[in-house]
Amino acid sequence: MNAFRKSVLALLALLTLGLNGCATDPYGAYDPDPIEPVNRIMYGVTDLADRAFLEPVADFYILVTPDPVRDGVTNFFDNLGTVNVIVNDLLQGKVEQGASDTARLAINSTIGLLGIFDVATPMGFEAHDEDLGQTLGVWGLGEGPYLFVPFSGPNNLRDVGNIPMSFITNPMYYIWDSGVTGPLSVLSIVNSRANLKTASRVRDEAALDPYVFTREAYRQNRMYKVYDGDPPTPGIDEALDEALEAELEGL
Amino acid sequence: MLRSLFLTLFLIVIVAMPVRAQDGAAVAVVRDTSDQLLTALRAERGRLSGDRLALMSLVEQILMPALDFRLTARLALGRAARDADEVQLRRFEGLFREMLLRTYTAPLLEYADDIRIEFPPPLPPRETDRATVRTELLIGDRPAVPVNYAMRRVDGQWRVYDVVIAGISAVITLRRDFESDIRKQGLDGFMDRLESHIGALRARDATER
Repeated sequence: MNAFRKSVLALLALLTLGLNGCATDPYGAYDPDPIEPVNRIMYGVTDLADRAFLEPVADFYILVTPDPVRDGVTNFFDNLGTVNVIVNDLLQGKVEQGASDTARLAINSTIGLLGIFDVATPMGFEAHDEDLGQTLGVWGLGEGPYLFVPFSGPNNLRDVGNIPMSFITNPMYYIWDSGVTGPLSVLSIVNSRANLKTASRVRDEAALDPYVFTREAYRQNRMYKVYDGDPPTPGIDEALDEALEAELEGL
Repeated sequence: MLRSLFLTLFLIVIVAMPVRAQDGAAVAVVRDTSDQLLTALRAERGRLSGDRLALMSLVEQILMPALDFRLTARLALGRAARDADEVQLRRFEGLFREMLLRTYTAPLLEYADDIRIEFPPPLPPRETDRATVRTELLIGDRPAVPVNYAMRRVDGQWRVYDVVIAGISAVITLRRDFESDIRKQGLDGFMDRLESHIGALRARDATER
């Protein structure tokens, strides 16, 4: 028991150390990516698998499904993800938003035919984007070390709990039926990849180092989501923002 | 009592007016430029979809007057910009512009028919010569993507120097990307690499026809 408690404490200490990622000097002290060599390998493997299997399948899927069908599929999976959003609304103390998202889930699951049609948005129940990582961010945790999760994508120590959390809050995995859940999971993955088509094309063309490009885009977007679209600074690092300010002033 | 209320209102209007006027001017630049761009793309879709160079030069002609591209390039180059000479800066600007045009014009044309741009209430201006213009990009029925334009006023003219899409700043992302490369191989080595990267895009565009 004592040993167990000690190891838990050690783990907690490690986590807090890793998550205190607020100090910022883009050229010095603060390194958002301390395990970059490992992450790069994970990125390479994932990218290879993506190019060999997932991307071609997603391209084919885009080719054979009309846009409205794909929108319906996206709506369907977004609706299943609403439970996760509601849980995190409440964890963040956003009670009104939680009520609105609950109404949204109820409306789209019924009148919206299992979520295929998003009828709740025109009724004033707009979608929100919340997850466990954002909740921890709202509670004050920094992003922590960057992680590239193999066959998943960019992540960090604070946000990585999103992966199990999105499983346990997804109704699809409670109505377990191998004949339905399996194919649905595949469709979900292919559809998500199809929705990333333009973004991945831009990354392929605009980035000299797609690994860095992906990492920095992810970090900024997560910061933006934690602050619900209104981050205190336009960028990710105060020091970098100050450098930009200084350069702007100097002109 | 009534007089002091009137006076207060009057003062608020006086103080707020120049700010609103400037802000309106910055919004107008974004609105007019995007209108002009979308109209041109829609009107000439047939000709442009088969001719990448014509598409790039059309987009360039419409966008450049609204951009402070020199500033964007300097910011994207980061610390290296300070030590760079004029020749290097010019070379980088040219390469950077071509890379952006080759990357972003094709998706732009592809979505031109379905794009709508809305202007939510503007953010309070940070300074008299700096502003952020907020827009929402709507493509078909998909959820709105917030796109903010960071603008600076020089000689009375508002120009865009950064575009921030869903919190992702183009300047910061590319700066981080370039920075690691510049550190490894120096400014000239980095630009050689950028040039060969663009070379690959050129080759792709040439075979696309």
